[in-house]
Amino acid sequence: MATNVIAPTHVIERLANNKKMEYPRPLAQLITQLQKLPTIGQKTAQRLAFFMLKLPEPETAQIAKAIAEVKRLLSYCNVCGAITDANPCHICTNSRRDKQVICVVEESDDLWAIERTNGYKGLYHVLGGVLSPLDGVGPDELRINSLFQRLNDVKEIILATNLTTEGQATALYLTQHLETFDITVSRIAYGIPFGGDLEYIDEVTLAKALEGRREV
Amino acid sequence: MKLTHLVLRNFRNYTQCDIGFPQRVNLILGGNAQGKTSLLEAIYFLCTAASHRAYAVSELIQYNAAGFYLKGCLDVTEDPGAADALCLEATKVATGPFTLKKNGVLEPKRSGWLGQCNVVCFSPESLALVKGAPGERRRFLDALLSQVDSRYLADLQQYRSVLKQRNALLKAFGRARGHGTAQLDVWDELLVEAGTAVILKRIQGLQHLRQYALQKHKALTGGREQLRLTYRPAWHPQRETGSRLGAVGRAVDIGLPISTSSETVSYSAQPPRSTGEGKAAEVQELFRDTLRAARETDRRRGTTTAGLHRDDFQLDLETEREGFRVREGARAYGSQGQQRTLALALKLAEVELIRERTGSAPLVLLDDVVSELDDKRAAFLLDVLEQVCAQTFITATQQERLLRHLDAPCVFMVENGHVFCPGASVR
Repeated sequence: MATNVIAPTHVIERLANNKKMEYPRPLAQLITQLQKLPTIGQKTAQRLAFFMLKLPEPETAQIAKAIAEVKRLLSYCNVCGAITDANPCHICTNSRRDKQVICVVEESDDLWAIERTNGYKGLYHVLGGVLSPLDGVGPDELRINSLFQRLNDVKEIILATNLTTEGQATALYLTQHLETFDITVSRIAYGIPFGGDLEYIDEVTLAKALEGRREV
Repeated sequence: MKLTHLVLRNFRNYTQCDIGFPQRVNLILGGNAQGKTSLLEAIYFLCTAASHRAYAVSELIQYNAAGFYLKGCLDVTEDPGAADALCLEATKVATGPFTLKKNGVLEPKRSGWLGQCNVVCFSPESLALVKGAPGERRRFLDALLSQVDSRYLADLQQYRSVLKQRNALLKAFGRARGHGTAQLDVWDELLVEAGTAVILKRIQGLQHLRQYALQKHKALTGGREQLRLTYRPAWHPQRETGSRLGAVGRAVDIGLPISTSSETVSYSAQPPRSTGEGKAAEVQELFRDTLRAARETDRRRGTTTAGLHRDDFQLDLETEREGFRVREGARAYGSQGQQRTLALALKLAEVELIRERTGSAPLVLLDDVVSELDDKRAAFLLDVLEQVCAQTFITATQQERLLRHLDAPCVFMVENGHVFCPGASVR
């Protein structure tokens, strides 16, 4: 019987036209879209796409809905610049927070990192980047002016930009401009991580830690 | 430090090659274009993760091959009984970056790679050290210091990244007067901070280098000429400006006493600062002043004209002529022979400095050099290398003259990408 089986004409045509089989269009589209995500390459995108194909439909709808809502419902807080679902954000409006201290961070994820410590009860200010002339980012591209407008009643500014060249430059820039205000400006400490073994710490960090030692 | 074994795959004109180096002195013979220099290049690449003659690493891949692989086994200890082996591997695939492995473990950074096995390469191109532009001397100094100081390259890279940002800012704001001043202040401060560590190491390194170079040069010339090596810092306020090339450092007293052999005069007018921190503060202050003074020029040119990225050191020869001491720049006035002697003295000083700082002699690669030196200088060179016990790789086209100077070397013949070892040792 097998010899009598004839493939549908459109399949035969497709096989004749292009030797390489291609994914059906919706699948190819999903793979292309997934590849836009950071750290996702061709292979991972394919794996994710095939995984989604096997999911029951309500679950794929949920994923799609979550992605759509994240853009629709979230915005930047008008006061501190953090990503939020209410404006001003929950941290800015929280009456139990110490309004006299502002911690300046580069991005919203830095804010969440500090929040996870559960040790900080002040407010935040998200710059949205760092000074980097190479990328065309100057003070006007960052949320620096809006920081200066928040300084009434503030006693301390904590600079928590990253310890990269650009992060340091931004911290230095802010320090120089905050000098004119009557505010304590501090920089987060850097050096040995907690539980770190001196023997395994790289030399720069160790040298900086020694430089920034303090009396006990 | 001794290289005992070398493996090459698809490197330059070598398809596959496996060589053992049992001895200290290795003589590599062969005609032109057979692969003598490529063999030295492979050793140099394993030590420094860079080639001394190719611009791009991909040039090293054999024609039509997909990538190259190099492996070197080294004896770290001088003592032959306790063999402490170090295995270095370098792989490059045509389409990707190259990877470095130390004892099978991936090493992601070049600054972490340097200094494991130090190397000094002396080839006819080394003459550029004396004859060439300041960049050649800076490259020599940077390559030397990154080998002996594990932090030097990282410090320099940090400085360069700040410099890039400052230059980008100058390009963007340069002509708009008064614009971006606050930002420039910030980048200046970071530039000074990053540069100070490099400057201090350069001052100290040059001091050591000068000490050895004077000594070697004196021995080579029999004391008839005296070498003067002067640092020309381009971060110093007293640097020369206005030349066509922009800010080129003028000889500046760097405030450090020179303690060499007895008759060498001290360049220092001021008493040296006793503490390292005091010295650092002094350098920072000077560098900061220079940047401030050069700011208008920088804005106009859209680039940073002052700073250690324009440093140089000057080589002068002092001779006694009709009762007068005459001092002349070796770059412009030195004869071919004088320049060659100077380059040799500097290279030998490099070997000595590495040995002093790290406690073990570097591998020495002599590419077509020995045959170009006269008998006396060749003998002196090989004598010094024997004294410091440096493993040496010499390339030449013929052996007769060389064998007079060498005591039982291991001879290798190179022919069209293949290496033969005709006998254990030839005398």
